[in-house]
Amino acid sequence: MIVPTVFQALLFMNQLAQNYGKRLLGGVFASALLSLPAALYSQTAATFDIDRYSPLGEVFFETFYVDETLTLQEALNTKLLNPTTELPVTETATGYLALDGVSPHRTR
Amino acid sequence: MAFHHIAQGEADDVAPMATLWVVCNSEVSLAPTIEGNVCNYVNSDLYDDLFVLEDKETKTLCSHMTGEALYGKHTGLQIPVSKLLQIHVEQALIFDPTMKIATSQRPYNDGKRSMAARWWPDRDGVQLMPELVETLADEDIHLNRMAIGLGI
Repeated sequence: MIVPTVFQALLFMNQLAQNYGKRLLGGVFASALLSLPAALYSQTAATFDIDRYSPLGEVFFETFYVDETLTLQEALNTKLLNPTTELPVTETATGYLALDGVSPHRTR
Repeated sequence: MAFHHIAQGEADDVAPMATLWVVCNSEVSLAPTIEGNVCNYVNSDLYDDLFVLEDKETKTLCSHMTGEALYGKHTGLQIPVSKLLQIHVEQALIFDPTMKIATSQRPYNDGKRSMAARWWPDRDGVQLMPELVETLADEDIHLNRMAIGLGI
């Protein structure tokens, strides 16, 4: 249980800061807080455990290979999308590119 | 994207890549390169109940959120990651009237029932399949399994 352990450590450090001076331990406290995301996120090469890797999802989804585009205005004019359709947009070397089908709420 | 999860390819002579997992609540843009070489990624299997990217050529497994190579030939290397915007069509046209879109020809949900609909965490009494539970590490008990929260 990483979270309770880290939380208890932070509480302990906070108590020390109150007892022995906030300035002295403030930097340590801040450093510990900033390191939390890395401590809590387990998907890293250093912690990867191949025994927890499941073949269950292998065939569910296929990669969308993008080979042609049209303008958003064209897609709107042909009612491929509606004005409130939500899109993911990525920035490429030549500008922004929207990707189709972000959610089941799209119009087709 | 909801039924692909990974978009990659060449449009206007660039090689964009984006990942979007509706149930995982994750979406990022990536430059699909490792050590200067363009790699082709597919949805691989599950780890931490999340899909993992797999480089087709080397079989290296990568995190679809951080781009870090987790296992295989490229372990420890990094696919460059940036933000993926989330925007409505009308907002996008104001933002950039010339913006282009890549459209998928895949039919809506391919006529199949969505797995997400069955496993949505808000639904009472829905349990994860044992095969998914096996991919989880020690769980934080402050929230229900698969609930989303911000720990401070």
